[in-house]
Amino acid sequence: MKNISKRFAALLLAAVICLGLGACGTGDGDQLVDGTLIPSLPSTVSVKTGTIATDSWGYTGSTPVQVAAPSQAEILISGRTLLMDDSLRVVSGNIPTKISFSSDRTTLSRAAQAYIPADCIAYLDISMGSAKSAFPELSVTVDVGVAAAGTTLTLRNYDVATGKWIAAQTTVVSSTGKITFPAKQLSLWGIFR
Amino acid sequence: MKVRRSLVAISALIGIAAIPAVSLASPPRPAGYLSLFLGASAPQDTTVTISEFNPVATKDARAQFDPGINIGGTAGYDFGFFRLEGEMSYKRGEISKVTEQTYGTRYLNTDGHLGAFAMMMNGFFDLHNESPVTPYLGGGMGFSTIGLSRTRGVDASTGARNDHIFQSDYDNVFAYQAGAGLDIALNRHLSLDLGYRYFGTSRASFTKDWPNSTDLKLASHNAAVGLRVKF
Repeated sequence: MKNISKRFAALLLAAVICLGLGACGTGDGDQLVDGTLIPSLPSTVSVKTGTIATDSWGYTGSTPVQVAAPSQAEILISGRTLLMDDSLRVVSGNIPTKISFSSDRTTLSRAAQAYIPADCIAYLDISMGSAKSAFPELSVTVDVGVAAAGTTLTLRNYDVATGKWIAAQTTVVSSTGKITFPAKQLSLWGIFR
Repeated sequence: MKVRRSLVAISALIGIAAIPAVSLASPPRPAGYLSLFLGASAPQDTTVTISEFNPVATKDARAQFDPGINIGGTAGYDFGFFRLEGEMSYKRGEISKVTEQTYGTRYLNTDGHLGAFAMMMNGFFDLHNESPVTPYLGGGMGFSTIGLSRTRGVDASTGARNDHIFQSDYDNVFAYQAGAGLDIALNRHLSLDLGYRYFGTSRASFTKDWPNSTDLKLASHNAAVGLRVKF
């Protein structure tokens, strides 16, 4: 009887130790950035599609147009914006739009991942049919939840021809955790620390 | 003495040469006639209104032209001091520049043209005199088919290439003209016609891409050299 009690006590102790060790090894996955605890962004790709119309000269209407985009991004096209393709030919008609956002760079194409700098926070893929550039530039606002206000981030544009990420500009995260930048190229934009 | 003879001879030659002309400066002779002419047409700058519905947009573009051909013929009857004729002609101008203030576009070195095939009824007053040169003035009205070609260009501001500044289309419109000229008699039946015409049309509306439309009026200065055969 004494032996059974000893064995049960040892088993109980082992179970308590295991539970304790297990609890020490798990966390909530949040990151500590500049002393602030910020929840990480979802790693899935958010996609939103829509259409915009341009006239026979390749211009959008006289009023600004909000492009359908995932909740993390806002894309505003100002009135009378000219859309052009790769060879600077104007693009007319109903143009399909597809805006993709993700903080998981492994969801990028292999080619785009090949030379991507390690400090990528998120990317925004702006696709508007055959239109590849806009004049004037689009106003793009992105919610970069993992970066604290005041952080300077670098925006890089992915060049399909060379496979390189070309540094375009830097921007500072606002107090609302968002960045706003002008985008002339309607292509893949990476946001880097 | 030799000098005097030469002067007389030259005077005689000039006099002989002048006989047919003087005789052709003759009193008006009622008869039918045919003519052909060839020259140049210089369309005036015009405002082209482009209305589109998706997206809603209206542009008032200014089109400028380089001169083009002016060719045609007439058939009519000369009553003496008044001629009544039917005319068929084709004139066109090459679109050289298209600008739009609101959009800030400046398409330079554009490739396109605006043409007018006109069927007119004209009346001219001939101011006969003692010389072989008969001034005339008058005008006419009728119908014209205005043809706008597909127009391409590069925007000097943005470098954008536009292959459809204007779409190809045509419209039938009312046309009028007024002009004057000189009819120079070469012999009893044949005369040389140096003429100027101001040619204008009512507003043409190109609606191939209905409900979108492109509207313009054509007005042009036209000069021509023609030959008229009187029967």
